[in-house]
Amino acid sequence: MLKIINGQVYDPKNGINGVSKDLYIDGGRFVQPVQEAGETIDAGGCIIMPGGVDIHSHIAGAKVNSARIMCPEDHYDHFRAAADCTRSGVGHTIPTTFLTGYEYAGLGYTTVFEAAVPPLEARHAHEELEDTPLVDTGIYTLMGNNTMIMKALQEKDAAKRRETLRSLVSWLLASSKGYAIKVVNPGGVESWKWSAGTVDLDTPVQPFGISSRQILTALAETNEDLKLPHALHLHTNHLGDPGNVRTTLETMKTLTGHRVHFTHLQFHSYGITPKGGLKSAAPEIAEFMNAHPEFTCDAGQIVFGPVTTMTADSPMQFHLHETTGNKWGSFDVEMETGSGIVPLRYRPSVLFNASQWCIGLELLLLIKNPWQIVLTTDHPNAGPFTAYPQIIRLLMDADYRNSVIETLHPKVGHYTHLKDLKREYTLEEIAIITRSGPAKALGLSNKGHLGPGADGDLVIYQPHKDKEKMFASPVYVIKDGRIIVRDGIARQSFGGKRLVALPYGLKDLADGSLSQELAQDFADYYSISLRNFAVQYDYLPRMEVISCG
Amino acid sequence: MGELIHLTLKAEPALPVEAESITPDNLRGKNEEKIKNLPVWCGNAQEKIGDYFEVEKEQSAGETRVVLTGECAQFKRIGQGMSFGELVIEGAAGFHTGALMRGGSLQIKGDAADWLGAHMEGGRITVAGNAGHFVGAAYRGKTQGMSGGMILIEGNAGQMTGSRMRRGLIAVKGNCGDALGFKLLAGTIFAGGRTGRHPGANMLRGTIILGEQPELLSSFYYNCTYQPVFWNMLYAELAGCGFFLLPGGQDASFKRYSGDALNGGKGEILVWQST
Repeated sequence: MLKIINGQVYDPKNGINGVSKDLYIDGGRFVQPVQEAGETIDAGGCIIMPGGVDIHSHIAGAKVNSARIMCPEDHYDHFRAAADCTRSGVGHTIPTTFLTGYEYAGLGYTTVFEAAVPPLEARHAHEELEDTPLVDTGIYTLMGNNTMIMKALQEKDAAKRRETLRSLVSWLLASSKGYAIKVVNPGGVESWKWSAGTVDLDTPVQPFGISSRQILTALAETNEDLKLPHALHLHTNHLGDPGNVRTTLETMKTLTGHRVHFTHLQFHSYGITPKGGLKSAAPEIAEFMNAHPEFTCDAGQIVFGPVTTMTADSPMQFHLHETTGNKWGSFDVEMETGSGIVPLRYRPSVLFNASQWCIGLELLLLIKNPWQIVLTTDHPNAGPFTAYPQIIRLLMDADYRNSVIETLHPKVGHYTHLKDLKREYTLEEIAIITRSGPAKALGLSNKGHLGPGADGDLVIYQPHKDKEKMFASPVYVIKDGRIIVRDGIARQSFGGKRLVALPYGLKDLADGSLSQELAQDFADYYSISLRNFAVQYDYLPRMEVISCG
Repeated sequence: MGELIHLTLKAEPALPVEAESITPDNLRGKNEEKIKNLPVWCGNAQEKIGDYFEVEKEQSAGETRVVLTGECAQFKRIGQGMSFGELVIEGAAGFHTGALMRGGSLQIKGDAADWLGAHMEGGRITVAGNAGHFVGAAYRGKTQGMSGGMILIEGNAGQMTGSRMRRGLIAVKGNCGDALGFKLLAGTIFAGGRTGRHPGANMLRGTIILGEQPELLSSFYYNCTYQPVFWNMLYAELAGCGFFLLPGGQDASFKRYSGDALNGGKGEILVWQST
C-alpha cells in the first residue's frame, strides 16, 4: 500500500489537468482511495504524471547488439560503475541492456517497445529484454519483406488470401512473441536483395510480382481482422530521400480508413528543391494527419550529436554509407528482411541536418491533436532517448527554440517554417505525447493513466523553469507501486513485464499452422528447422498477454 | 626550480598494472609520500605506486624529470596524456605508453608494447628498442589517430603503424609490419627497413617514405623519380636530434607513387633509390 498525497496530477486520459489529488497504489495497481495506513509520499508542490511509454525505440536484439560491437567509440567516454543495486554499463547511443533499463527509468519511462525484430532474431531480442530491467517491454515483428507473406499474397482468391494471411500473421506473431505488425520499406528490402533498386508503391517486387501497395493494404486489413491492440506500425518507402513526401502522402491515401501508425514521420516528410535539395514538407503531412484521426505517428526528432542509425531498411543504410563514407554493417535475415547499421553525427552547421531538425519539430507543432503524435527520436537513429527532456524544452519554450534556430546553418530558414511557429506545449500536452497518447495508440488500457486498475507506474517531478532540467531528473519514479528511482538514482532493479499480443491465445502455433507448401519452403530455405523457430514461453517468465479485440 | 623524481621498480609484477598516474604533470610538486600513495589499478584492485616502486626525489635545475628504472613491460599507460617535462623509462614499457600525449619528451630505453603514442597530440617519443603494433594509431572505432608530435623508433615496429594518423611524424629505422599507414589521413611516416603487406592501404593523403621497395597494392601508381625538397629539411631536423635516417644522406632520390587510388589518390609513397 503506497499513498502519494498533495501532488499536482496530470492524467489526460481521465481528464485531470493539474489538480491536486491523492493517489493510492496497492498490489502494483492504482486503487480507489482507502483509509488503510501505509507508506506515504508527500508530493506537495510537485507534478505527477503516469510512467512514460516509448512507442518506438531500438534497444534489444541482433542489430542493436551488432551496433554495440561495431562501435566501441560509443563506449569509451560513457560508462557507469556498478552500485549497490545496479550493474555497470557502457554506451551513449547504444547503451548495454542493463544501462538502457536504468536510463529509461531515470527519465520516468516505464514501458518501451523494441520496434523492429525479425522473427528469426526474436529469441535474441527477448533474451536481451530479459536483461533490460525496470521497464515493461515488447517487440514489433517485421513482416513487410517476408517472402512467405509475399507468396501468400499471390493467391488470386480474395477470401482464401485473407484467411491465409490471417493465419500466417498470427503464426509469425505467436512464434516471435511479438506485440504488433511492423512494416519497413515494404518490398524495398527484398527488391534490393535482388539488386533491383528501390521500389515505389506499385513496383512489382521480384520474384513474386507483389507491390508495396498490395503488402500494405493486405497487412492493414489483417491487422484489423485479428483485432490487434496496436495499429499497423509502418516505416514507409523512401526514408530520408528529398521529395519522399509524394510517397508518404500516397501511402496515407491508400491506407485511409485503416488504423496505421506512421513511425519516425520526420524522415518521411521531405520536399525537394528544384536543385534536388531538401525542404520541409511537414505542413502537407500535418494537414493530412489533422484530417485523418484514424492515423497516429511518432516524430523521430533529430538530436544534434552522435547517433547510430540501425534499421531493417538495408538499402537505405547502404545509401547512407555511400554518402557519408562511414562504416557500415549489413545483414541478410534469410527469408524475412535485411538490416543495416551506420554510425553518424548530426551537425547544426550542416544544412541537411538542420532542416531535418526543423522538420521534426514542425510536425510536433503542426499536428494539432497531441493524441495523434508521439515524442520519439527513433532511438538511436535520430538521437538517443536520453535527449527527450531537451526536446520537451524545445516544445514548451518558443524563446529557447528560436535561440537554437539562430545557431543552425543560416540558410535553414529558406527551406523550413519552424521560425514562424509560435505554439508552445502545455504540461498536459507533454503528458499526452509521452505517455497517455502512446498508451492509447498501443491499446494498453492499463498504461498511460492513473485511474483505478492502471499499472502503478508514476513519476514525480519538481517543477522548474527549465523544462529540460525538470524532465531529466524526476524526484521519484514508481513502477508497480515500488520506488525504483529516487533523486536520479536507481534504488532497486527488477525485471519488467513482457507485453505480447496473441490473436489465437496461448496455444503454441509453431507446428502444423503453416500450409504444407509454406512448411516445405521453410524446410528448403531457412537455416533452422521449423521446430526450432518459435520462441518458447520459457523466454518470457513475466509475460502479460494484451487481449485482441 | 625543477625536480628529479626517481621511481625504481622493486620487482616485476606478475599481472599487468594500469599506471596512467605516472606522468610529470601528476608527480610535479608532490612529496615522496604523496607520490607513493598515488593510485594504480591491478585488475579490479586499487593499489599504490609505492607498492611497486621505491620513490626518491631531489631538486634540480631545469624542468621536471621523471626517471623509471626497471623493466616496466607490465605497466600500461605510463605517460598517458602528459603535457610537459621529461619522462625516461630505463627499460621496457607496456601498452599505451605515451597515448594521448600532448607535450614534453618521453624516452624509452628498451622496447615499447602496442599502442605507443596512440592519439598523440604533441611532444616527442623516442624508443631505443622495438615498438609493438598500432604505433600512433587510432583506437578501435575512432576515425583519427595521432594528430601531432613525433615518434622516433630505432628498432622495428609492428602492424598498422600510424594507422588513421592525422598529423605529425613517425620514423622507424628498422622494419614495419603489415598495413603501415592504413587509412592515413595526413602526416608523414618513415620506415627504413622492410615493410609488410599493403603499405598505405586506403590512405587519403599524407606521405609514406620507405627505405626498401615494397610490394605495392595495385591501387598505387608510379609518377616519377625525383629529389623532394622537404627531404633535406626532414633529414637535417632529425639528424639534429641524433636520429639519422637513410645512409644515403640528404641527397637521396625517391620513386614517387600516388595512391590509394580507391580513395582519391592524393597520398604518396616515396621509395628510396640507392645511388
